[in-house]
Amino acid sequence: MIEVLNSGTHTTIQDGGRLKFREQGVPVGGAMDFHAFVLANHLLQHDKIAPVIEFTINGPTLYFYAQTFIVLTGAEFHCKLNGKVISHSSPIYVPAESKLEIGRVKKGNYGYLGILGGFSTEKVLGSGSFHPTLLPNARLKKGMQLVYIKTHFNDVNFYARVIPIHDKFSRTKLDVYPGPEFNTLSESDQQKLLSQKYFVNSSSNRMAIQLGNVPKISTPEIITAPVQPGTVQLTPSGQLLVLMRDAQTTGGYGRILQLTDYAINSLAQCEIGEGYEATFRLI
Amino acid sequence: MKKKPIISRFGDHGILISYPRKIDQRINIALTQYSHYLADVFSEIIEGFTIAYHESAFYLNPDVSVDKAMEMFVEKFNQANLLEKIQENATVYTIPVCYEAPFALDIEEIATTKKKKVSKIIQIHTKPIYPVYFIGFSPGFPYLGGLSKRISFPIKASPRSKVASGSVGIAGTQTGIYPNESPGGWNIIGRSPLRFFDVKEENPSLLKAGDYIRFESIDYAQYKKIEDQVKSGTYSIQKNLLK
Repeated sequence: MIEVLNSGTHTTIQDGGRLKFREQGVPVGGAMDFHAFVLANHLLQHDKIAPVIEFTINGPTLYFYAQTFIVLTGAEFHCKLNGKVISHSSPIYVPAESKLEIGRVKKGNYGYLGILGGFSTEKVLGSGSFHPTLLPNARLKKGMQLVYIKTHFNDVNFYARVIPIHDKFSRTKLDVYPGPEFNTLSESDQQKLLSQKYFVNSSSNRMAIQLGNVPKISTPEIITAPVQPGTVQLTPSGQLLVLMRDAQTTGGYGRILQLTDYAINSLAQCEIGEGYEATFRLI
Repeated sequence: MKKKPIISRFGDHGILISYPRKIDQRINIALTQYSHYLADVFSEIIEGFTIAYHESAFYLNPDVSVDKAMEMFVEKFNQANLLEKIQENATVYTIPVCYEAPFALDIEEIATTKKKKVSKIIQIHTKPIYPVYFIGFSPGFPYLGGLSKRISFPIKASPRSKVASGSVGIAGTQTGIYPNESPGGWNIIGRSPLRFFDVKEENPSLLKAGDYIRFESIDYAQYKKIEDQVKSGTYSIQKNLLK
């Protein structure tokens, strides 16, 4: 069992999300950086993809009662296990009665903590991903206890090692499809949209990432229509919103671009603020 | 609606079905019937779907070729008499609503502004059979058509931070029900004791695209009685077939 000593900025349990209930208005949810979530599971050699802990800005401090293996993937954080710095992207042995301190983020935005066998947390509509309406808790809180599955790991050998490449976090190229309303933009607005260097605004969250340095372009509002993670909406006031995992299933702003799956994961990790850049590349 | 929809790609694994851009009940019925049919026939390759007013989106299993699936969708549409085959009897749900204090937070304001009695507002609101165009915005939230212009009322300038689940509201020319407690800017005219979204149910949303509802005015005592029945699982909602 893990006890949450400090919850961090916004720490949640995440998995692959809820795919089957979108026509009932249920957001998909799931890990912001799906690639890092799957990687954590692969590095722990899980046969079945299991839930992980997702954290951002400031990570949680956790107390482990029983021994296990963990792995950290996604964004890099200052991390200490029983006072010693630990490595990223490789399984780490955690003795019983250990304290893991995940501090401030170094590179990227969303970090993941996978645990051998996975967390056995409450599932709602087939997923353990936290959601404010569907589950009693919207985020991990101090004092909460998380149960993980006991595994026999005396003979477990972890061979896989991954060297993370984090250059993409500061200069992110996002592959995009034209969205359903792309053609409602004038040709010169389409050019502006695609040649601009954007940055990720700090008012971003799990529902949407807001882009900064947006050129003056416009498109009318639409009749409410389907949207999905990766849909780029242009609001009447000229904001560009990229919908992320917890987004609604339908929306009323023009859908001018649609990110690929890979680009959604990249954008989730794109460094926040004006010193960094994100650009679109039409495929 | 004999017109064929446009079928296009929507991201890595999505397909968009588009009818003409209009809030029009005939368009929505054609879209909903075709979409439910596709979701049923191709359930093995579809991970999820969303229906809205004039468009629906299908999200495919990542192993499936989107181009191939688009061809299959078109082919199905071209099969003769598709819409006749899938025509089904729609269900009309009767939704009990208490239009009294302490639930009907804004009904007095609407009545005063519209220079009508509260009883008249209730009478106008309970008269139509409202089509459920689709579920969106939040889990279980129905987009309804058919509100009388006589009681349309602008959305609040600043939303309430908390609206109780079951609250029935009016915003502009729309009326709807909040299935979950949430912030909200609609004018609240009453509350229903029913559960509109329940994660313990196989289909958590009570309503779906293609259903119909009518509101029935109940008093506070009836509200409390139904609320208890809902809690103990003994309430059965009144359903009729649309004729």
